[in-house]
Amino acid sequence: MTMTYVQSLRRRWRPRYRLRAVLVVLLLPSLLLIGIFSYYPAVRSLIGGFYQWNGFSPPVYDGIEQFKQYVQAPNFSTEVKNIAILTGGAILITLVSQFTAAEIVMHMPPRAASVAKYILVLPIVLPPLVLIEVWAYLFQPGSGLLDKVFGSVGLAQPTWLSDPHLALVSILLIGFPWISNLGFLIFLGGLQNLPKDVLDAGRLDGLSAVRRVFAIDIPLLLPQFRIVVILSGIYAVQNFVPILLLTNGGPGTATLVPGLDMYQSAFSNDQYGYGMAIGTLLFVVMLVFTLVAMRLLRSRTA
Amino acid sequence: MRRTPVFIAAALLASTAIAACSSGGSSSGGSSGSVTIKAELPPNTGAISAADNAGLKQLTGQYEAAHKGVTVQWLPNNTASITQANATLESQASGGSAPDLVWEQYGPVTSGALPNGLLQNIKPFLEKPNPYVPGNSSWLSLFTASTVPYMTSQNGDIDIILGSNVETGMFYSKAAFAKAGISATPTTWAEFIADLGKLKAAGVTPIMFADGGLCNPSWFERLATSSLLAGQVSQFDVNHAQVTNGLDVAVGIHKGIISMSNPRYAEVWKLLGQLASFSASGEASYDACSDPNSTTPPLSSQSLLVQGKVGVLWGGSWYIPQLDSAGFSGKYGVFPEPPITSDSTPLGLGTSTVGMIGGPNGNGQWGVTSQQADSSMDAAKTATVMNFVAWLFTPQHLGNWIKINQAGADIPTETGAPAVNLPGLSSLVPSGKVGTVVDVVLDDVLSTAATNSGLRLVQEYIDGQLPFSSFSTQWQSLLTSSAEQYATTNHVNLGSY
Repeated sequence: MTMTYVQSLRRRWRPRYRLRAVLVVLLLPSLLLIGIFSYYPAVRSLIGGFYQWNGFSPPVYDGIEQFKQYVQAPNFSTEVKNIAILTGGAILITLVSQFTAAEIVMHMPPRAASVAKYILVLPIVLPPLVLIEVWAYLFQPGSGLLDKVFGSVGLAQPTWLSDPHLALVSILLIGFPWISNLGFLIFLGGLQNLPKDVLDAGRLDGLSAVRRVFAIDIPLLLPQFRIVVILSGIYAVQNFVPILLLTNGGPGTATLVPGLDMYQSAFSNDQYGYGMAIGTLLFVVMLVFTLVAMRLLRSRTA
Repeated sequence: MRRTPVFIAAALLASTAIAACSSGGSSSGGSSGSVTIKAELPPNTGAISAADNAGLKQLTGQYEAAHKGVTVQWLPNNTASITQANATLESQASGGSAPDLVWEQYGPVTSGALPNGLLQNIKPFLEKPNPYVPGNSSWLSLFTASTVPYMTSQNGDIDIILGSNVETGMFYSKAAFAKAGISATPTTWAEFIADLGKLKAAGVTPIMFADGGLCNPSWFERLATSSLLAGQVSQFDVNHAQVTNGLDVAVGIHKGIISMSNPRYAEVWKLLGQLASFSASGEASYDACSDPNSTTPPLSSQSLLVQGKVGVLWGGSWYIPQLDSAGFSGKYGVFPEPPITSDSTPLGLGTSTVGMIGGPNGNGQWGVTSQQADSSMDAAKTATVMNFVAWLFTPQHLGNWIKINQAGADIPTETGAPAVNLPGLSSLVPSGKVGTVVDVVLDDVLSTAATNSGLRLVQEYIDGQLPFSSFSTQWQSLLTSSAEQYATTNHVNLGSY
């Protein structure tokens, strides 16, 4: 009945082995579904860009022609310009508004801060389509709230979404004051976890609030800035829904962006292969953007 | 031994997931003696229980009572646009799960924009008598002469059946016309433009040329091109149908007739520039075909007319019940699009354009899916579906349900079908044969991609972002590339025509 060394080993390893097996089994459905619904479409999209496909007939291999076609398309430069403005604008207003809001809330009296936090965070649960619908009303020519306000003070009433010089700015305006977002929570969390000794040192040195923000808060929150820049940049590139619903890329090409072109090529024009080629290019651009942002905003502290 | 349940569980989970992912939504077939017809309702009419579909519901109930074993399952059709409807249908068809009777627009079907083989050729059924019309020799003979060409594809097949027409016209505010001293409606395009000038001089914004959607731009293209190219259409109308199709247009482009270097064709767009100069700003916010209750752009322009913000709107027969329900009854008039005569341009031919823009409407446009697109479809089920369609398209039935569905704003496509006589409607209906209608870019003739790009160019031209010369260059480029694409996709040698 003496336990051999091998038996002892089995007894020790068996529970861990069983646990792993159970974990694998539990994970399997999730992995399977993620594989089918996330990775397969992504890989299929990467491959699909090399094929002409109308969604019904058999795909025809076309090499890199569709990638070239997109880059040489008359609207390409307009789309690049528009998405650059939208992405740059979105990142800027996200950083400024959400960081500022987080700073203000952080330095409010605790009870007021708690209330303000809830008020600012609550709109996150609002479905984006509802927000767009609200802004559609605000932008309505003549009868919308913005035009009514402009009219009441004797100003000209702009046609927000159909004026080619205003349409892109109007798209950026959606969500004003742009606080109710994940970035606000990330910044707030970061500010709450700043090292107390550094803040105390700054206080002893007599730093003003503004100096403290630039000398302590921002440098120490670079990792948070990096996450917010990357997330808001990717979101701005991917999120063409407000444009689709409010301007459809118009008037003309005033609000046309690559994401919308991708969507319309595939689902309106039956050019699924071409749409996938645009999607692949977008993926590459976002990957480069992410790497550059991670490099530029890397933390300088140990 | 302990591991066995774990692997069984894993296998079960995996197979369940795979089964869930691979199962399609195929329609039930008729092999068991009972048939369920899955049919799409006219677009944006809600469920079959909605008031808009009361006529269809009533007829369906009668049909099911008379045909034991046949059930019709109507599917709501919430479609924002034709292109979206096409995309949805193609997506369903690629999985073999399209409904049996699908709503479609005739343009994409007859032009070949919709992939071949998705819908069945129903001409053999239409050439036989409609079984519900006593003494009928051919179902096709029940349709008005102008309707059949709209249903016919390039190869002579009929893949779509059309139930209703709408007509278009200029809706004007009587108060605005009175303020501008306009006592009679214009009879030529030149008079119309002059009247817009009078409205402007009287301080009234003359017109809203709504280019946020395709309606006004495509109507203008159809009107002016059909009129100005009336003397040249025979050179590229190889299909000899009522409306030019993709092949006709591609041939016209290849021959240089539909070309910005042809002064007659270029004049189309110069006239648009002239009309747009009288338009209120913010055109892209509006669409002449938007629902008046829409709150998301493009909005309906009808409120501008009702509120006195513009003097004229280019609308359709469906405006009549809508304007009436907005309390504008009696305060507006309507006149058909006046002909473009030599008073407008030396190239004007004075061709009547009444009825050229109107035509088949979304209410009652259906195609029967092929087995490739709908795995439940077979010959027996096709016959059952067409029998049900024949019931719906008995003239008396057709007139009744269209009247209920659209408050009389639509005109049935079959002779003998009852229609509502709404004031003003009769002036929009052509009294004689309509000339060949020339659709080029903005009506899904060559491709949806060309239509989308074309609308963008028109918007930029009207906005003033593109001067005529730049518009002309880009439009020509669009024409050329779209014709080449059409020829490639459809394996057509344009040089052989």
